[in-house]
Amino acid sequence: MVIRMLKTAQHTPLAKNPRLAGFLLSFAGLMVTLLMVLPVIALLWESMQGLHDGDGVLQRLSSSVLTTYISNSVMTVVFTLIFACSLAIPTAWWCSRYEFVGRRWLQWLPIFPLAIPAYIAAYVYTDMLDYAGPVQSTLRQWFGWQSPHDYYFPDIRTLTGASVLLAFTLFPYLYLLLRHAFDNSNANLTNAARLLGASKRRLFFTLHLPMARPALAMGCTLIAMETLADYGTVKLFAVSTLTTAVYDSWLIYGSLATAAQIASLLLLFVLLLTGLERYQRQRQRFYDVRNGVKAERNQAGFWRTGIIWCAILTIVIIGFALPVSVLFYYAWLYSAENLQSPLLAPMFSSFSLGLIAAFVTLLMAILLNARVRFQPGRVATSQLSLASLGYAIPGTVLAIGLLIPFTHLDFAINNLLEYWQQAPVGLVFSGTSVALVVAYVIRFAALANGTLHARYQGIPPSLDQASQLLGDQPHSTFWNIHLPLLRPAMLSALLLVFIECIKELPASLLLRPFELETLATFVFQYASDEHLEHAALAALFICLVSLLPLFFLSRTHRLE
Amino acid sequence: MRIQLWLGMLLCSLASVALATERVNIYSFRQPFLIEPILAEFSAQTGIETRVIFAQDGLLQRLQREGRLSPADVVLTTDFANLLELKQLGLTQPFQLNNTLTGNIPAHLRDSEQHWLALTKRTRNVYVSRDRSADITDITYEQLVEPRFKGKICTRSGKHPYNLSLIASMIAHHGEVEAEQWLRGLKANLARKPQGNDRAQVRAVYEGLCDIAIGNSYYLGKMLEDENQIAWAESVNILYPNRAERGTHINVSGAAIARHAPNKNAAQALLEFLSSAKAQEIYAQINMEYPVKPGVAPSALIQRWGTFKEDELALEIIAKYHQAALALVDKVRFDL
Repeated sequence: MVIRMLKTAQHTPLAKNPRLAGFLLSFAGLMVTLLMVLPVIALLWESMQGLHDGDGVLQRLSSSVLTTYISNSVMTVVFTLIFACSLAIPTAWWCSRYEFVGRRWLQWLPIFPLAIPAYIAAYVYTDMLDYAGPVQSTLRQWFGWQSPHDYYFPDIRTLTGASVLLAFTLFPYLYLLLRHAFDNSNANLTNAARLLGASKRRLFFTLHLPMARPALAMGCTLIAMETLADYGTVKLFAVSTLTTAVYDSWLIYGSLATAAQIASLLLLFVLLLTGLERYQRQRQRFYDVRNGVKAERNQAGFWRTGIIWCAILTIVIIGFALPVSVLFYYAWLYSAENLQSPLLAPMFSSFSLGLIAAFVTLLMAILLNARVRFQPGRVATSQLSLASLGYAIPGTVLAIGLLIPFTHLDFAINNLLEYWQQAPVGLVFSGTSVALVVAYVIRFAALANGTLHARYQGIPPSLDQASQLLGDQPHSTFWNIHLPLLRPAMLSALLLVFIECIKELPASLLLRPFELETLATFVFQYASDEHLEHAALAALFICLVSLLPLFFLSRTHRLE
Repeated sequence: MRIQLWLGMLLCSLASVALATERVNIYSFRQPFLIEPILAEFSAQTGIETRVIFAQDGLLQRLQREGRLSPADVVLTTDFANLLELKQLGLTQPFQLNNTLTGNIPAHLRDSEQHWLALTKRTRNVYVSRDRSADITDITYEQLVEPRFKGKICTRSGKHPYNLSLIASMIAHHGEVEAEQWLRGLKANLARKPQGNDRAQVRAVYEGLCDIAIGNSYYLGKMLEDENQIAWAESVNILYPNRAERGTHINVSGAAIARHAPNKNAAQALLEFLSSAKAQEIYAQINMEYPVKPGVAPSALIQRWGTFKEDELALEIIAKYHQAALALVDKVRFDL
């Protein structure tokens, strides 16, 4: 659909003037980046003022708990990454490189855990697995244990518990990115290596995995950013991280400046990480310029098929089926309360806001990535990185970061109107759905930017050169070569952003106008009163709405 | 020409909608489903329509940023710290103190300058196991640190507003040094790292993980109404700490009129209604909270738990120690 939309633009007079098109591209890139870093700038501004005023909150925190929070944050990220990699790499590899019974269906399953908001999965699992939960109670009943000293059961509310849960809900990003990478890897290299006597294991670790490095790096960055920005999930697991410090200093000590300083620390951390990774592989290339033959899938034997099935099903049961069944159980247990809830309007607003935000995000990501391709250099690359920063900011903080410039803008408009003696219009930007859509776009741009960037790196520049030799202007190269090749990545990006928007809670809660309820905010009013059970149906609808485009995609589009 | 006509018609219809119904816009820290029955009654009585935005973190900051353009008329809070912060930040304006309000709300439950008023009270209780600690019939917050309770107490995070205000009240009564010792002692007596919500603590008593839990009064009432949780609630006795001396710590939910309220009259009407006998009864019956209006009785269920003496230390004084309370929680690493 996007391609069709973009293609109509091809015939405008603009396309006939390459210099103007180039200027427009860099101008648009600059504007988009500016919009994306707006909340970051606002937050930095706040933190500068804090440095100047010096309210002492940071000193207070650093004298007691800050080091623990930092180490907790780092450990959570490291553990989550380890767990997520061990879930995503094998599943992606199997589905890309092996042919087995039911592969066509099974390959979609690892995406399902994305549809469950992490805070809901966390609620279900902490409730189920802690001492008072049904699992341990049943065990105690069976074996006649009386107290926690009678047996050992791993404590769920720990850093490890939180990391495992985050890994289960976040690994699908990595899975999708790796699938594209593994699917598109070239058979020539494999054959050459095999002729030279490389074992299968060696092939995987020295050829395929390193070739997938951009995808791996991108996926890990996304997961790390989301983990760093998480507040609700770690809170349920009783783990205090840097975001705890952000919230404490802001909401209880009343110092937005300190909160902004700590949030900036988070951002610095992310920039450093991504910068380092990029610097390390800046001279490496991840495409094969020769006439590629697509790798044939190996036929999996009986045992391997069995293992693949068991592994994927287990992952999907833990990450999706089990929490969903618990939600069904809650909905049945409290059916009267659940059936009363008016869900149509929240469903509609979630769906439409998500769709709009997903398309806007995708268009921006295409623009920024095209700029990196056609006008390569530090400026374009750093614009792409800057435009992805929103993903590492906790949702509520991002929302405030956005409110600062938006309310200024609203005041400017109203002041101007008053100056012209017109009636004021009120809050046009900050008090309407506009703020919400912009918040979604900024928060989830990293997903679209990253997905497209990883794919773009797999398109060899020789294709561009060939196209130019044949007399194509850059824009035709883009429409005719890049866009068709980017299409699967575009669909993934669209899907990821859409699903995340449906699940997004903190920014939606704070920025929504009157009479707008999304599914997530509807669920939250019950969950925050210790009553998630009463909104189980709404939580199920979140999963359903998130999965809708997936069903649509699985019919028209093959993952490979 | 035609466009202008359409625009004119659109504007007229918008204007007529705006004129037809009076409105009051509410920023609420409270879950909408809890106040819906009350707001519905308000609309039925006065014809004023209500609109609610519910959020917990950052609502004050939103109000602050919106300034004079803010559509908010009334702010509803669940914790007095929020009420006082609203006033401190200059986000409120005084309501009209008429006979209705003076009759409905005792003086110590409203601001001396009319910037906020309390609507309901809730107590911070101690629950003890009926099986294992039935002999404890009276307790003080101070006693919770005694060695006999080692490894027997469960509570939620020390940073939750309800616990923070309890700790702040300990600082107000005993001074920071003693309060720190108390908090350390409490931490030493915990059966597990602070986690979960108030209901989860009662459930932990039911499952035998601890004998004593700290929690708000109305959660017990709500659990007794829920057939799946009634067993948890019935495994504990509810105690009102310090009732023989200074009284049990209370927190309040309340309301204030926003500084730039566009519908100030409607806001005043809402405040008066929320303090009226009708609304106070709904608060008591549905939410199991203690009404503030003299003469309105708590729900029958709560009355069975007996009467209690409330700690009458002014809320302003407790609120002063709010940040000090958080600093203590961090200092003794209560949650870690």
